[in-house]
This record gives sequence, C-alpha cells and structure tokens, in this order.
Amino acid sequence: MKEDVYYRILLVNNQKDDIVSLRHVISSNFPVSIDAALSQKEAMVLIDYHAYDLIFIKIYNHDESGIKLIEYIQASFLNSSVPTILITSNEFKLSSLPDGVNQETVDFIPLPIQQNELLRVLRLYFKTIKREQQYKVRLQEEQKVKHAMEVELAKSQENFKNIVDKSTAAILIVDNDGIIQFSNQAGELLFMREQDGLVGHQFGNIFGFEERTEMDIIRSNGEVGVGEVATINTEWKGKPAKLILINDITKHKRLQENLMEAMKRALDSDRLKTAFLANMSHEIRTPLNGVIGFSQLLDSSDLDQERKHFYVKSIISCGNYLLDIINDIIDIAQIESDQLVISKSKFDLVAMVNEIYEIYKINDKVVSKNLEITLEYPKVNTMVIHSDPFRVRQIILNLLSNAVKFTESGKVSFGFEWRGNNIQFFVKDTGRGIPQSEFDNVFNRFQQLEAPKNALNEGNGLGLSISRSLVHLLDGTIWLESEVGVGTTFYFTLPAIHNDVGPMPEEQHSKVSKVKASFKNKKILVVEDEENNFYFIQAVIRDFDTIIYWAKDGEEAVDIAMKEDIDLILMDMKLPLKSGYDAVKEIRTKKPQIPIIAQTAYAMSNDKDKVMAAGCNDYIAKPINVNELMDKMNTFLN
Amino acid sequence: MKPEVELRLYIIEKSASYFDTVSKLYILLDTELDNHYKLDVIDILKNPELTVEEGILASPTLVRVKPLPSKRIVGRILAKNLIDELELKESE
Repeated sequence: MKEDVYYRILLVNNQKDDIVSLRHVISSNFPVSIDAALSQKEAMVLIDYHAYDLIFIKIYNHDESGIKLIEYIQASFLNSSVPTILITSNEFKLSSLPDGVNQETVDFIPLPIQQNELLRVLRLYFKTIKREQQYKVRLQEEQKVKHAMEVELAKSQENFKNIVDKSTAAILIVDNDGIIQFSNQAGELLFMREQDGLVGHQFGNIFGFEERTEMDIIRSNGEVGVGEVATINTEWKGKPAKLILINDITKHKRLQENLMEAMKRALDSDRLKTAFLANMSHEIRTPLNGVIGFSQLLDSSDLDQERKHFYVKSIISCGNYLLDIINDIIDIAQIESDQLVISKSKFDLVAMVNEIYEIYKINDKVVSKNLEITLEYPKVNTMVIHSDPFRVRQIILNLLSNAVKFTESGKVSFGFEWRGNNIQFFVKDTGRGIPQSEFDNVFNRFQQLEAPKNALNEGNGLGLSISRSLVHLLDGTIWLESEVGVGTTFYFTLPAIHNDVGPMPEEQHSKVSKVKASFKNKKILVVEDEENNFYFIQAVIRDFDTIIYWAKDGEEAVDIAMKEDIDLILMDMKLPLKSGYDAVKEIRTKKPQIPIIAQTAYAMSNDKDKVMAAGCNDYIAKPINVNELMDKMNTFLN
Repeated sequence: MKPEVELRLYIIEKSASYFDTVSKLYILLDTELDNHYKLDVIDILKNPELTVEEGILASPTLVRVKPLPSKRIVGRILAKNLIDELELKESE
C-alpha cells in the first residue's frame, strides 16, 4: 500500500477570511492537510494532539500571546522542532524574540503576503521536510538492520556460551601471571573443584603447549589423571592470556595400559607354556629311557640275581615316576579346563593319616636322611568326614613329598586339628625354608619350571600347584609359613561340619592287607583286547593255579560267560565291537551273580560311577597294582 | 650462605619424563645459578596432601618459593629459558 505523502499544516489566524484564502492557495499547490485555529487556546489544543510538519502563525507586533504560543510549541511533545512561520508586519525582527526561544525553527513572512513568495517558501520547506522524512526512514531501516545484527550477535554469544558451558572438555583462561580467570563447568569437574571453583587459583604459566600434548593433571582428592591439552594465545580483558582446552583421557590411558599389560602377560604365559612343554617332555623321556634301557639290559642271559634284581627295581621305579608325572599332567589339564570332578564320600581321616604315616616311616629318603616323622591329630580312634578321599590323600602326599625332599636333616611332622568349622591340616619340616618374597611364587607351577634344573628343585614342581587347585576345589584354603634356615609349614583347611563326622561307615578303606591267595581251580575270565595287558594279568595269577579264559572283545566275553561256569570276570571296559558296558549288561541279564571287576584306564570318578551303574561289582585302575588286584580277587573269590 | 633462590618441583616420579626433566633441571640451575639455589623435588604420588594443599593442578609444576612473590610454571618447564621466566637472576 503506497502511503500518500502529504504534509500536515497548522494555520493560526484570528481572521477567518485569511484562513480561507491561505488554505486555498496552499492546498491547490501542495499535497497538504490543513488544520486551522482562530485563537491561541484552539491552537494549543491542536498542538497537544497532532504532530505537524509546518505551523503558520499570524502575529502582531508586541503580541505577547503570539510569543507565548511559539514557546508553547517549542515545549510541546509532538511539535518541539516543527518549523514555525510567523506572518507578521514588516517591522518584526527575529532578534526581538526572547532568548528562551529557539530561533533555528522560526522564520517569518511579512505582510502583505505575496503569493509567489509564500509558495516559494513553502516549496523550500517541503523539500527540507521531505528530505528529513526520507532520512528518518533510512534511519529506521538502519536501526532494523542494526537490531537484527544485535539479535544475531546475542544469539551467537548464547550459542558459544552454551558450547563453553556444556562442553565436556575443560575450557580455561589463564592470564600471563598464571592465574585462572575463567573456567567452564567441565574444567571444575576435571580438577574436582566444583565447590570453590577454579577462578583466582594459580595454575602456573604454561609452556610449550602450542600443539596438542598430554599432561598429568591433579584432582582435589590427590588423584592423578591424564589430559589431552591444547593451548591458544588469546586476550582477556585487554591483557594477553592463554586459552586452554583439556580432554580427560585418563580412562583411555588406563585402558591402554591394562591392554599392554594383558598382552605382556599373555606373551609371558605363552613363553612359560613352551618352557613347560619342553620341561615336561624331558621329565617324561628320562624315566622312559630308564624303563627301555634297563629292560634291554635284562634281556641279556648272563646276569646274576643281584644285577637282575637291581635292573628290575630300577624299571619299577622309573615306571612309577612316569606314572606320577603323567597323572600330574592329566590333573593339571583337567584343572585348567574345569574338568576335574570332585567325588565326595565318607571316609575315615584317622585311618588315612595313619596309613600315610606307615608309608612314610619306611620311605627311602626319610630313611637315608634319617628324618624323624611324626603324626599329630586329636585324640580319637576314628574320624569320618565327607570329602574326596582320593584328592585329600593326594594333597597330603604332595606336601609330605616336598617336605621330605627339601629337608636334609631333622623332622617332618604332619597331622590335623579342628579349627571352628574347618579341619586344618599341616605339614611341617625343618628344611631350608622359603624367603617371604617367594611365597606367592611357591604355588605357581610355571615359575618353578623356568629355573634351571638342579638338586635344589628336583621333581616336576607341579605338586604344589595341583595341591592348591585341589584345595580350592574342596572349598578350602592353603597357605604357608616359613623362615629361612629354620623350616617351612604348609597349612590347608577343609570345611567339615561337625555333623558330618559320624560313626565309621560299613566299608573300610583299610591298609593293604596281606593276600590270602586261594584261587586254586577258580575259573577267571579276562576280557582284554590288548595282548600285553592280558599277558601281564596272566603272569600275575598264573602262579595260583587258576583256569584262565581270554576274551578279546565283548561278543566273545558274553559267549564264554554263558557257556562256562565263570567265578570272576575281569572286564576291560574299552573294547572293540561290543563295549565292556554292553557286555556287562548282557551278562547280568542271564547270570546276575558272577562277580565282575571292571578295568578302567584312569580312575576318574565318573568312570567309577558308570561301571557300578552298568552292573560291575568293583573296579581297578590301569596300570594295575598287583596287590590291589590280589586283594579284590580275594574279596570276590573267597 | 643461605640461597636466595628456593624452588620446588612437583612431579610424578614414575612418569617416563621424570629422570630427564629432573636431571636437566639440575644441570641448568647449576650452570646458571652456581650453588645459590635450593631445589626440592616432590613426588606427587607420595605426597598427595601437600600437592593438593598447594593447589598444584598439573605435573610437572615448578614453583618459585623464594624470592617472593611466588611464581609458577607448568608443563614443559625446560622448553623456554625458565631462569628469565621465573626471574631467578637479579638483573644487573
């Protein structure tokens, strides 16, 4: 919509005719809107309410009211700077206006009014007014632009303020005296100084950080973190300062460090495993060479009894040693892969420790070193506990073996006592002792193996590691006390609730009793697919005038069992074609009363359960212990 | 003769740059100040309370304890001429 440009004029004249003629002249030449006032009073009202572009006043000489009107106009709100043209007589002079009147906006036209003169004056004034109006419009537009820019600037500042406030990176301004002049919230958080803030604190003058670098930062609780720092030169309140940005990378760094450590440990572990394998292979080869070597020597025909006896003893000794190593390795493998199964049952602890005592009393090393062996336990005849007897025995034997090994002279004592809800075992020696710094390493199998082999650490070094794992699997704890030059005591506990300790169960795991061999004419069926194993058993029981039947597989076994009147079956459970289990089941259906002893390759506890569940009466572990076999055969044949 | 210059270095002993920083600092101080200085090296990890109390915010921080007023520089303290920076020598 185009606004009409027009000028607003006020005519103040007490002559109505004058007003009419003036109105006519002006409006026919210019776009105007004219108000008229016949008296001062009228004029004042109009001046109060309208803003004019031009005011004409008819004024008489020495006319005080006219002057007053001019003053009124200049004091008004709407018209204070409006050009005021006085229509007056010739004698009028601007200088006659009082001092208070601003002469800048006052002009005059003398009477009588010349029309041309009037028009000229009007034209001049309107041009000026137009220019002023245009100027005002431009000014307004400039104001708008300025305002828009201010708004944008304010918004931009708000954005930056938010960025600084919400930034997760610490943002600080430090002046050249090292004093912190500004910090954002993240900064206070980084140094853990939200309470007092950081402003005013001394940071220090910062050097050499123009590029990104890492710096250790210290929090208010003494914690040390790592920051990624960038510094930029800037100004703060007119003085040079440094803008510092810090990213807290403590977690990153720690993660990195942990990763490096884990890698190192993995590599170490790898290296140790290789050492373990190399060592183990040596451990196995040595006794094996012994067995093969001495066996070859035995084959010679011209040997005296003493020599033969010596070779045989050596072979047995090497064989047993080999067996120990292999058992240990299997134990370790099972423990590592969480496959070791604990099989708990009730057994007499008193009987067990006594048995172990008897064994050790006559142990070679004990005898040769003249060691005193003692056994201590609470004054009871029996103590039945619920645990895994095989493993408990293994642990005690392990610890005793070590004690005897490392004690050159003096005493080895062992036993147990009640400590609250636990049974606490001990094995004490007067050996060379272990320094405190080695306590943690003592149970590590790998540690021992890296040391060079010498008399001081003979043996495969796996015993303690296995013992510890077993103790833990039995819900116990194991530890040691030692003093170099005095001796060492190993302790381990087993949880045993008093209620578990009850009367001796029916079956006894008693000491190995003498064999009353009376197998004469008994019919024994040996089911075994491997020749060597069969020949061994045959050799063992041949002297007793038994009648031996040999089945090489399950089918044969069932056949013979059905046809003959068998007194005892020795069944190898791992057979070709029909398995031992199937054979046993089948035999049981027709002949339930034949005693069957299962042969298992390794006395794993689940094997035991399996063979008993299949219908066997007992089991014996391979390699077969002669005495044990005799014992069991005695049980079933007599 | 009592040294007029007293300095305190707050640093983490087990950091990689510890040895380098401390030894170079001693060399610089010995060269420039002869024997007229006292330097205390404080391990931040072993003295956390003191470190926090002094308002030390980063490692390493070298503090000029004497002459007063106290001044501080942080970071690669050997990167510039710290003798001038900390105004350790009296100007002739």
